[in-house]
Amino acid sequence: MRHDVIDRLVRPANPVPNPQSLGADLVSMADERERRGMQHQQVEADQVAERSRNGHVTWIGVAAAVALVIGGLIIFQATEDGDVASATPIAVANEYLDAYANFDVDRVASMLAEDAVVVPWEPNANRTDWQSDLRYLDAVGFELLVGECREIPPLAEGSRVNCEYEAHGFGSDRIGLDPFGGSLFRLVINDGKVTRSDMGFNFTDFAGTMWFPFQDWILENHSDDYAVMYESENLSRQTDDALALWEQRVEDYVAYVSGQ
Amino acid sequence: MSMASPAKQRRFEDLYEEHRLEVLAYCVRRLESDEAADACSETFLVAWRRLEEIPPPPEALPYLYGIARRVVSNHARSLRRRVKLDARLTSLGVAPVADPSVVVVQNSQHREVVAAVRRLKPKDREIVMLFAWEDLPRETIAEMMGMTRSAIDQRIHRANQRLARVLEPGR
Repeated sequence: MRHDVIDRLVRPANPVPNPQSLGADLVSMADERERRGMQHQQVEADQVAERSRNGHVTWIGVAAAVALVIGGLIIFQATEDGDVASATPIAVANEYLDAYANFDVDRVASMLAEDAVVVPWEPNANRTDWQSDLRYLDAVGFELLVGECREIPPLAEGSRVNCEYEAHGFGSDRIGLDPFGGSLFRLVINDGKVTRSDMGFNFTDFAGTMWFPFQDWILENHSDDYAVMYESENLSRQTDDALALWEQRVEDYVAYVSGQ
Repeated sequence: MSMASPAKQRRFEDLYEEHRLEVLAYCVRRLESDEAADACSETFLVAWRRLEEIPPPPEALPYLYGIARRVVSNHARSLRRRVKLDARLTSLGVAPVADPSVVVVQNSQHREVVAAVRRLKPKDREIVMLFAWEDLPRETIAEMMGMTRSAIDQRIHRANQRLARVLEPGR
């Protein structure tokens, strides 16, 4: 695969082509901070050890004990089942979301059940082509910052796992905004496969801060592109032509907002 | 005073001695030098806590880069907040400090290239930097980023096209 610009231009522009050539001042500063950090850590470790010796049971200790018991149970279950990683719904959910957050169509496909339902990311969208949805999210620079996954009471059709996440999109991170929170991936998992996947994206804040301002900018500056990029005010088009335009215009928008 | 076992201490010292310059360089390529020294120190603190998980060479360095990536990302987030605060200060007539997230590039000819790399999407940017500046093989990058090898190929190809459009528009 060709990557001539990277080889010709990016490689020689390496700000630190040779780590050995880093300035002595900078290296000393890093050494000094590392030494102080280690000392600080040692002091903290000593304090914890001291508290422990004095018989103070801390919440950390309790949490660790609980974690050990749960860990023991999981290991026990792993021994029973042979392969815990693929057996626990939480592990399946984490692996699925890792593939999803990387917009890795092949990996996502391998984890979906044959008749899986994948709910589109946009509210009110009625499409079933989740592959296009992933390509779209990738094209417009979505970054999914997945938090904790929790198992909730199961349904007849399988285990249910909810995973909180925050997201960046349309270059929101590059224009200095905090990630958009309040979203919840809802998964149903049966026999190690995802049978239902709902991205549960909290569109409200994103709509006001990114979606509609971007749309206004498109209408004002690239009105000819609007019909290619949008099915309606609230819905994107995801054809190949549309995806290429979305990617380009999001880049242009980031440059515009950043004043570059 | 409680002490770590001598074997753990020695292993950490070897790791630090062997890789501190590479990790510091990784941080300098992504942050300004003062922040980079902090990020490098934090990376090794995390490494100390997870020493048992760190694989032996040659996998140790990519593992350390993986830790550094998260540390740098946290630093970059707080830098962005600072930049926003600076913007507010400017609007109030107070002169802010210079944007610290800009990599200091000695050669002015390279400034445009670095700026173009920095404008890539975050994940693409990291992949390009790992590939071109840390000089990591694509398989290693795929492992670090939790992606397939073909996904890395696609992203490098796409980033190359984007950089070509920006840096060599008439070509």
